[in-house]
Amino acid sequence: MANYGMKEITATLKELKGSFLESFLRHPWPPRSARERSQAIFQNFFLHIQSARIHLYSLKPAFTMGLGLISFFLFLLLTISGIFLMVYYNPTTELAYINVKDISFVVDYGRYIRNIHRWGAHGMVFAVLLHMVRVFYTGSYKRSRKFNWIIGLLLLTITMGLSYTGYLLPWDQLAYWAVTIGANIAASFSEITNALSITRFIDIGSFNKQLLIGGNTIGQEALTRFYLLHIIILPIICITLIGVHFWRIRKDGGLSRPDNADEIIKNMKSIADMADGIKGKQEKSAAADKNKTYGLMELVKDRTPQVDLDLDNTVPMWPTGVWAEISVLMVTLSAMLFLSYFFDAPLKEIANPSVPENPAKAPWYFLGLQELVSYSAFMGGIGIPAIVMIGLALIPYIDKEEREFGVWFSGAEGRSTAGKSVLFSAVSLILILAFTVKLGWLRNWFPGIPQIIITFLNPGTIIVFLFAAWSVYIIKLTGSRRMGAVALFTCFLAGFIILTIMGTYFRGPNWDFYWSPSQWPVH
Amino acid sequence: MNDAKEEKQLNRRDFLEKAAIGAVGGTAGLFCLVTMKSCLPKVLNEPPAIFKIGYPNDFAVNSANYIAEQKVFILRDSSGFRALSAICTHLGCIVQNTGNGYSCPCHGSKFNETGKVTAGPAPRGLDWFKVSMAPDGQLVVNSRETVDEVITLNV
Ligand code: HEM
Ligand code: FES
Repeated sequence: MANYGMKEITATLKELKGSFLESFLRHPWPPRSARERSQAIFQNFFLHIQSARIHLYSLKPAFTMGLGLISFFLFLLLTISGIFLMVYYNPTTELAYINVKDISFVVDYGRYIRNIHRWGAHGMVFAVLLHMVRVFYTGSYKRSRKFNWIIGLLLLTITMGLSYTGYLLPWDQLAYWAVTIGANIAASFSEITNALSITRFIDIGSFNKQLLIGGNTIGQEALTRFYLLHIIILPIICITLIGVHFWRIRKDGGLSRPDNADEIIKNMKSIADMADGIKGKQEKSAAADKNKTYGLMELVKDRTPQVDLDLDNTVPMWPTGVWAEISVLMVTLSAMLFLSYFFDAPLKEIANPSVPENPAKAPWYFLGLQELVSYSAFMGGIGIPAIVMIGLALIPYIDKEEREFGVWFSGAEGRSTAGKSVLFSAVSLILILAFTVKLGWLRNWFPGIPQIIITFLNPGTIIVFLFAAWSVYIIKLTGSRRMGAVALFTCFLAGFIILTIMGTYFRGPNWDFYWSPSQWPVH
Repeated sequence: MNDAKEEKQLNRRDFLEKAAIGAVGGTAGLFCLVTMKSCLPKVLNEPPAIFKIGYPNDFAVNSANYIAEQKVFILRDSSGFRALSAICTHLGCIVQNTGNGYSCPCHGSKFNETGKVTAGPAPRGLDWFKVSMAPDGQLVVNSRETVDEVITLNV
């Protein structure tokens, strides 16, 4: 009984802060030794998906450019801002547009929240695309990372799906017509089944469309379905896949790096300085911690045997890596706040099912597709995207060469291959576009031509064929499949950019060609 | 005897394994099918496909009127009435009457006066719908029944 006097209780209370912190963190605070720094990572539910140490090579900003992280942070930002939007938004055709107007003009800070959600969505698509570009050019899809590339492709698809479904929700003219076009692309299988006269037996087109929009035209059913996809189904799939994506990075031993990464690190002055700085700090804090005794010390003759920087060029994730991540977060946030403060998300007139916008343009990342769709709905909207996705998915399984990876472009040969491919892609694509704009296509010359011929022979399919031929030529020339992959990927990337520019700046009312929007007819 | 028995036991094990995989796979497959089927709408909450558009005298001879709700053009000339769908066969935008034909704002499909494609990505011409007369004297358009352009309803 005497043990539980007032004195003991006050003493226990005084220790409360420390003992609570330790129970909460599961490791001493602040973490000083290398071991405690590791604990800061793997004793933490949120941090333990990454490994406790990170190779200095992966900390080089120019290697990842933080693009995957930016995508992830934007996803978080979109989730949070999206929940705020849901407070006022109702997915009905009567209310949706009014609610969005209220959010923009009445609700406190509503405008900024909506802006953040809108620019965040554009930013996420942009960041995910760039992230894929960096993963490709650094050859980071090789060896054990093959399947994570596939997970990445799924994430790309889901990201696009999230943007597309979100696009309908404001229920304005832009939303209505962009989504009408999208839903009819899903139905464009009938371009093929009609040509084969089998639509009566297997109508894949209408099946897809009805499943997606719950009817034949965009209405309440479509809005309900898109809302569900946008706020529950796709985000859950996305966060699950992100979890798998991250877990696999960890299992693959962190980010990819060349086999001679350690030598490269030694020769890089800035990195060497950074390593020295980190090492010095660790030694200092370990030495300052006089009460700590190291059992290992008797075995290994060194002051702080845990700080094995020189052995494998890794540093503890805590705090260096975590600070690097937090700075990427801060940069992302500032960019988003800046955009949202100065630029407002557009909102057109309320959806009008009987008069389309003219021109009716999808968001920028679909404008390349819209250009292709303007040659053939099926090929542009389903055929070519499917070919591209399958092609991307096959890359790691076809290019299994043990060439330089973890290095941009796999070195000089890759850089020059990429340069040549940009040239090839730009010249051939611009020629074909100019030809089509000036002279038209098959239907203008042979009015009675069957659709099936146009489906398979149009500017879109021809350019895909040319790109594939170019890549085969590069493989022949260099004897390297990695170079072939670089050529193909570069052609498609440059093609995507050119088509997007074409759709954004050079297409006006009736999808006619104009040198600039200032020449659009007024009506 | 012993061998045969062993073989039989292995077979039974194989059988059970296959049956179990089949049961799990079948359940998953059926689940997907049922989900998909239940998401296919049975009733469409949309304007009716067969609709009245008014009395013949509401339309002037040699006129083209656009009925917004149903997205059709009602054309009347000296020979009678025709109904032309305004929905572009490419990706579903609404075409506009240009005087000597129709053009679509979305990807530039052009159609002539008879609805035939003359340019652009539309895979086929605009649909002509069947026009008939209801007992009360009003015109009825049936957008489920497409007809040749030449068939007109004489009044
Ligand atoms: C929602 C979309 C995505 C998120 C949030 C995401 C996130 C990340 C993060 C944080 C990393 C760590 C390295 C870095 O920051 O670059 C990473 C690496 C990786 N990502 Fe993604 N990613 C996404 C989409 C993709 C896509 C579209 C691809 C490719 C098709 C892809 C393939 C990979 C691969 C292969 C790695 C390992 C790279 C290496 O080892 O160097 N990811 N991802
Ligand atoms: S929807 Fe009419 S041309 Fe595309």
